[in-house]
Amino acid sequence: MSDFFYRTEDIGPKDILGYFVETQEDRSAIDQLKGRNPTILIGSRGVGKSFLMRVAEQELLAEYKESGIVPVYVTFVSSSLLRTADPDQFRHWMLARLCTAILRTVRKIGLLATTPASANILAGLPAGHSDTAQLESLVKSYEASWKTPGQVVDASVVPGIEDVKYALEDLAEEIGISRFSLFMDEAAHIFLPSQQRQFFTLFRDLRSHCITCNAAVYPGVTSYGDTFQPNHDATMISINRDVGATTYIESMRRIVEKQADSRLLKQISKNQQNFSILAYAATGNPRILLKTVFSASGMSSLEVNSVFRSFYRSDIWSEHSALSEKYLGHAPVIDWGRNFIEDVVLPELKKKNDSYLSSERNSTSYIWIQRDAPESVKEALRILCYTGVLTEHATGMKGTRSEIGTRYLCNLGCLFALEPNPAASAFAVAKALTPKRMSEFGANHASYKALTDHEGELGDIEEGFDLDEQLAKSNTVLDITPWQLSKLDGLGLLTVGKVLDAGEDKLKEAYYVGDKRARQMRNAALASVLEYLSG
Amino acid sequence: MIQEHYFGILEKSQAALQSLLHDADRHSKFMAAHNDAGDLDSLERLIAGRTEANMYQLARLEYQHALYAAAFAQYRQAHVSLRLFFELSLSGVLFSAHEIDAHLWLKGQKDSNWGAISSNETGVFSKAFVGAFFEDMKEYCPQYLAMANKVYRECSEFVHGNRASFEGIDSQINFLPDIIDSWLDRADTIRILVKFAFLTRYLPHTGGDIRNDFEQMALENFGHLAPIQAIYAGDSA
Repeated sequence: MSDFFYRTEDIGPKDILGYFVETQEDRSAIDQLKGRNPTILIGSRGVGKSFLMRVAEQELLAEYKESGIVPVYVTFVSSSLLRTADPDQFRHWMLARLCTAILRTVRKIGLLATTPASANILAGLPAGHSDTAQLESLVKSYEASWKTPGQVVDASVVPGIEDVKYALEDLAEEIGISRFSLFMDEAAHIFLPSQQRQFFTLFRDLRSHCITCNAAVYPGVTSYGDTFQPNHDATMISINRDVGATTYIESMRRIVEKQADSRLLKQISKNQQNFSILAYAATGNPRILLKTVFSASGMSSLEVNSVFRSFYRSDIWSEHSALSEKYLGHAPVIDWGRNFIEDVVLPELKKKNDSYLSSERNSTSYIWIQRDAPESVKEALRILCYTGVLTEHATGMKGTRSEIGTRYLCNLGCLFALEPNPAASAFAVAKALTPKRMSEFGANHASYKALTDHEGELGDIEEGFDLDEQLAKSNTVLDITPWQLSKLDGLGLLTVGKVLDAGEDKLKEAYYVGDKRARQMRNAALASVLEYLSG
Repeated sequence: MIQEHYFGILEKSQAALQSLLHDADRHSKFMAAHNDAGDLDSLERLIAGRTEANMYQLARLEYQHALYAAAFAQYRQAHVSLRLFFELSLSGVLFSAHEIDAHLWLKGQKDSNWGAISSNETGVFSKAFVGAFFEDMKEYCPQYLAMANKVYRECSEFVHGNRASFEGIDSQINFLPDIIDSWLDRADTIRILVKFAFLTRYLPHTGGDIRNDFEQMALENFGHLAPIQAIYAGDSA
């Protein structure tokens, strides 16, 4: 059976272009990323933000000699592990990571010479001397701080932001390039507004003629700090694959094709409609698509229906609800969001569709929320966008009474899951979809009351979560394939903490295949741990 | 001495066949693969009298070899023959559009070539090729091309003896349920692809009688594709 890659991190940067399925929107996002203006990609988990950044990076890398633009990719996903006593730990750590990533890149592509540590002896320097060693060890001690929270880290080696800027300008001149294009992935933690503020301040402050910052963030990141102004300081691009596009199914199929074996491809070609249903249900999210196709690899109606039962009725929600366990302060908002969609929105959409379709009219999966809705409701909607249950479709839309609001697309899989036999009826719903029909929720809809009544309790939302508790959880909370999980079990890495703590060699033990594959698997395990911890 | 040695192998092969026949599920799948050779034979009617018919005859012989090897648990050989059947059949279809190549092949002056067969621009599953002979079917080509490339690659692992192809196959001749499963699956995929190539290439250009003879095969395998439905819907109306 095909062993799919769910995450971009699992695919080596060099192989990225081989898995790339280009759509028009993807191409324009990539061109934007490669350009001079700072760009921020916004999208929920698994829609392909990292992937697009990696593609842009690889394309720039291939042409850097002519263009003079050097791409540097850096991910901030391990930010949830920072637990030192340094109040500016996040800023220091980001800067240290950026500096080392830039130096590593220019050295790797041969623009800057390094002296191998062993050659230092000849030059009269200590054997282990290296000009980035200090920064690298600082990054390491920040990232290892989850093991001994509260320890003091000496951050004096981190240069100030202005110094970094000038150093990069000098460096660019020295090595004869015109600018650095920085790609900062997993840039701002969704539940840590203070990190969001620090990140965007850095983003703004790094602005220079020889640096272009680009970042990928989740929808719902809203704390931009004092200096950063969205749309003004960066082009904001939401990654949404339009489910109404005529090429939608085709491009989703090509994504699967890149990873499937001949057996799965045959089943898809025989059961096109069932595949289309799964593709619509994924609502433009490639990771969800790969996962559901993987679990229904026979493409039979029976399997498709069971995907709706197990994934769209349960798994997608347990991921959402898991957030409320991790971020206790947010629990009422997170739980209300789920109830709102499950008990109010979906049944209403389903009722409307039943009547629309019986009279051969267009169907809907869209809702509209008036802009004056309570803040706590909007917060709940932001979290729903983060987990991909909702997708922001258009802002500043007029509703029926000429009021302004935002239109959201409700995850089609969740909607189809209400059908008694999705394999039989979901296709008709999907084909007839139109954004023109939407269920409207005004500023004071009755269903908000359950949340607004508890607003007083929301006042003191704590940032972050209890790390120890998360590390003690079973490895089954990780989002990995059953095969990968069985390997972790085999090694006795039964908790999240143990997987995180396991060294490279330990993880390699399980995969006595090739080195390349071993590295992929190790990355997969670590990426899933970091993703789990970051919310 | 040498007699004992080879009779010993024969015995092991026989035992492997026995195991296959006693495994009800795989037995019936194998039988289906065996019986479907009949469908493959009937495809010859579409190319009767054409130069590439000779090539296809040799191809089908390879399919028989593949079945034979699979039955006796010679799984690598089964994949090798299966791939050869696949390549020769499609090569014939490709050469049908370049008759000179078919003649050169018969003379031993031209090789079949997977790169040419699977070319995105001019191969047998390319939009240009399929579109030339069966316009409406061309939109379905990309998925069949992707399938063809995948299954060819999977069989090639056995031809080239890639590391993965040794996994599960031990040094002895033994019936191996997992390996026969994937072989049966690949054989099924390859038969579908060969039928697709033949039907899209020749079906629209044959007379009504022959076309009707293929109704069952076409609808059974491609009845979910509108252009195929249209061919036969017209006749019955």
